[in-house]
Parts: sequence; C-alpha cells; structure tokens
Amino acid sequence: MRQRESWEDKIKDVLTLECDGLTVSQDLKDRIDEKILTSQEAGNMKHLSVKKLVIGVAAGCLLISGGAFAAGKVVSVSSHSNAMNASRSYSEMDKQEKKLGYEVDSVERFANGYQFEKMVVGDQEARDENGNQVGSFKFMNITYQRDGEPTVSLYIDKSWESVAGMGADESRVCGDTILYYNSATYKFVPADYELTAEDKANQEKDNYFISYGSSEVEIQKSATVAWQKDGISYQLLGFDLNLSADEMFDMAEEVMGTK
Amino acid sequence: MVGVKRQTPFRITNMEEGLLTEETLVRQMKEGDRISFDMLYEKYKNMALHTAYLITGDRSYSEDVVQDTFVKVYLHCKELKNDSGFKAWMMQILVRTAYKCGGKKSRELPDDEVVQKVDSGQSPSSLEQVIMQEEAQTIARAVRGLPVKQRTVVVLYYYQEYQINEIAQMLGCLEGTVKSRLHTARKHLKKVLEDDFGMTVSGIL
Repeated sequence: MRQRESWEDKIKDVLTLECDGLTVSQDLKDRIDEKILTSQEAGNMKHLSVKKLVIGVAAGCLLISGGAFAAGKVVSVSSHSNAMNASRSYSEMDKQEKKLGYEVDSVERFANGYQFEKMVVGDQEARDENGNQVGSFKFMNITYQRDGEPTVSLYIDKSWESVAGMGADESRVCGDTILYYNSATYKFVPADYELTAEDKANQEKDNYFISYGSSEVEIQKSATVAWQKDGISYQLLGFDLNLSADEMFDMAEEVMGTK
Repeated sequence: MVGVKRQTPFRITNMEEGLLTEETLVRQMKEGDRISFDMLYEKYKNMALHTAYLITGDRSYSEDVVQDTFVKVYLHCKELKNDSGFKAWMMQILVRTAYKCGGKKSRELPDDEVVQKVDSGQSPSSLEQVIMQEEAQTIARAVRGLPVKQRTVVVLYYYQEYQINEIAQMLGCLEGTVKSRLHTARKHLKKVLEDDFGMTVSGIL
C-alpha cells in the first residue's frame, strides 16, 4: 500500500474548508417531494417507459448536440403525458394540434403499411450535458403500427432552432429540407446494473448508449430520421425496426407531403 | 410543502430510541414509507451536497444534482437489491449525475473566500496563518483546475475517503482507470504546489 505524502493529508482539510457552511437550502426537500409527486402522478396516468423516454430525449439531443444520437449525454429529463388525453382516432388531430399550439405535418397511413395507432401531447423538460436546461416544451408523439412489428413514433416539437451541420449516418435532400438518418445501439439496464468490461468498451463508441432505469437488461437498435420544417422539428424513430434508411426516408417524405 | 404524507408515528419514536438501522429505513422506504425516505435524506443531504459541489464546482447546480439524486433514489429504491448497500448505491447515482456535468461548470467560490475561511479558524500566529492561507489557496486552486475525471476521483478518494474499488464501482470503470486518474491528479497537484512554492511540497507543507 502506497504511503501518503504529507501534502496529501491537507487535501481533505482544504476540501472540507471549501464546503464549510454549505448546507442544502430550506426548500430543496420540498422540490424533491414535488418532483416525486409529479413523477408518481404522471406514472399513475401514464409514465413513459424508459424506451419512450429515450425516444424523446434522444430526439431532442439529436439536434441539440449537433450530430450525435446522444441520449446518453442528457443529464436529466422529465417527460410525461397523460394517457387520458391520448387519442386513438386520427380524426381528432385538430384537437391535439390545439393542445400543442400549432399545426403539424402527419399522415394516417404510410404506403408501407404502417398506420396510425394513437397520439398524445405531453410536456418535456431536459438538460443537456452542460447542465443547461433545454427548456420546458410541449411535444406530440404519434405512434404507428404494422402487423405486430415494432412501432414507429413520429415525435414532433419546437425545441430546436436548427438542424444544420448535424452529423448523420446518411442524409437525403428533399426540396429545401435535409433529412438526416441516424442509428444507435441502446442497452437498457436496471439502476443498480454493474457495467461489464465490454459495456465500458462499448461506451466509448459514439453510437452506443447505456440507459439506466429499466427493470431488465435489454439491447435494442434505434433508427431515426430527423428533419425540420417551418420551425418545427420532426423525428421518425423506433427500436429494432425492419426498415432500411431509404424506407424511413420515404416515410419522412410522406409526412412532409412530398411523396 | 408538497405531497408528503406523514405516516405512523411509532417509527419516529423508534428512531429517537436509536432502534432503526439504516437497513431498516431502506427496507421501509422500499415499502413506500416516506418518513424513512425523509430520514435517509436528512442523514445524507449535506454529504451529498458537498460531494456534488466539489465535483461540479457550482452551488446552485449541485443542489440540482442532489435533487435529482434523491428523486431517483425514491423512485428506483425497489431496484436496490442489497439494503445494506444503500449509501454506495446512492453515491453511485449522485456521482454519475454530478460527474456528467462537472467538467463544464466553473467554480463559484473565489480564492478570497477560502482565505476568509482559513482566517476565521484558530490561527496560532500571523506568519503561520499566512502560510496556511497560501497552502489552502494553492491546493484548492490546483484541485479546482483538475479535469473533471481526475477531480471526481480526488474528491471521492481524499474527501470521502472511499477505496479505489469502491470508486471504480461508482464511476463504472476499472480499478486501474481510477488508479491511473489518481496518479495523474496527484502528479499534477504536486507539480503545481512545487511550482507555486518553488521547493519540494513535502518541505513546505
């Protein structure tokens, strides 16, 4: 065992001194209780699964980070929607758009067979890796299904200013709009999961993320097409989809109304 | 005050009598007992804040880290398999939360404050006092200037006095990585101290 040098013993004293008099503010516990309550209420109505939370967060970071499909870079996020407010009828799009505050591009059915299942408007608050609050904003999530296959989500919000310059696996130019395609691997793990040596090596990769909070370990591949139109950001995304990048680009163009 | 329902008072009585162990509190919290959660919060809140502050270097953000940590603790406590490992588990959440943002935040605490705090202590003589102030300033500045990965390890090792293997577990990395970061940090700190004082640190400190 290495012997400590005398100057090292001073470090604890100095760090202790730095924290001298530093105590939690009176209202911190109230804020914690409030956040727990909010989370529980949201959970009672419909708490987004870790996977869906990642969809929202990843969607945000995709553009915020200017390149990476980077849910792993988000420090904190709270996201909730009320299942009671979800609509299973596409004819109620007007009602949902009113809640969202603006009109959006969408389709009821895609040419490849994916069709509308449900839609919901929710609230999201996220912080990026720098601790900056991205903001509190409303989002719409439309879910599409096809014969028991993994669902595709169309996530829409106005939280980002520009997608210019972002990196992507592939892109397609569609009129004045650029569509960006990204894929990544997510390992969903319980909160107390111990990382393996392989996990640690994988974490070094740009498109591999470990997401804590699921009840069991699960590895899935995500695929996303993102674009921005009229100041509104769209992300068509899902996990373990049987869709190629081109097929997803085609679906995005259908949403945009150009195909 | 939001959403805290006080439950059966017998638990408070038990705590006052010193009958409640941390393990019991954790078990009760996992069963949904908010009083047990409150007690655990009271026990660890300042330690958590200090650690978050030393890693992030930002007072207001360190409160956010503590907030997020305890929210996660309550919401995910059922996922903790070993009740006796609560502190390590909580610290793992805290450090990972703080660690991610620690690199970008600047220190709020100016050197003058460090000096003031030293000054307010019991000082044997004015010369020794000046030396102590300089030492404190230099060490604080040097630790503050470390990259977040090294600073986190320094805080956990020297301030919280965790073992290398415990730190590795918290940070989700190999023990060798922790040792390497600690070695680099130690080397850097020593060099800064030597440069500032113009002689070997062991001689002056």
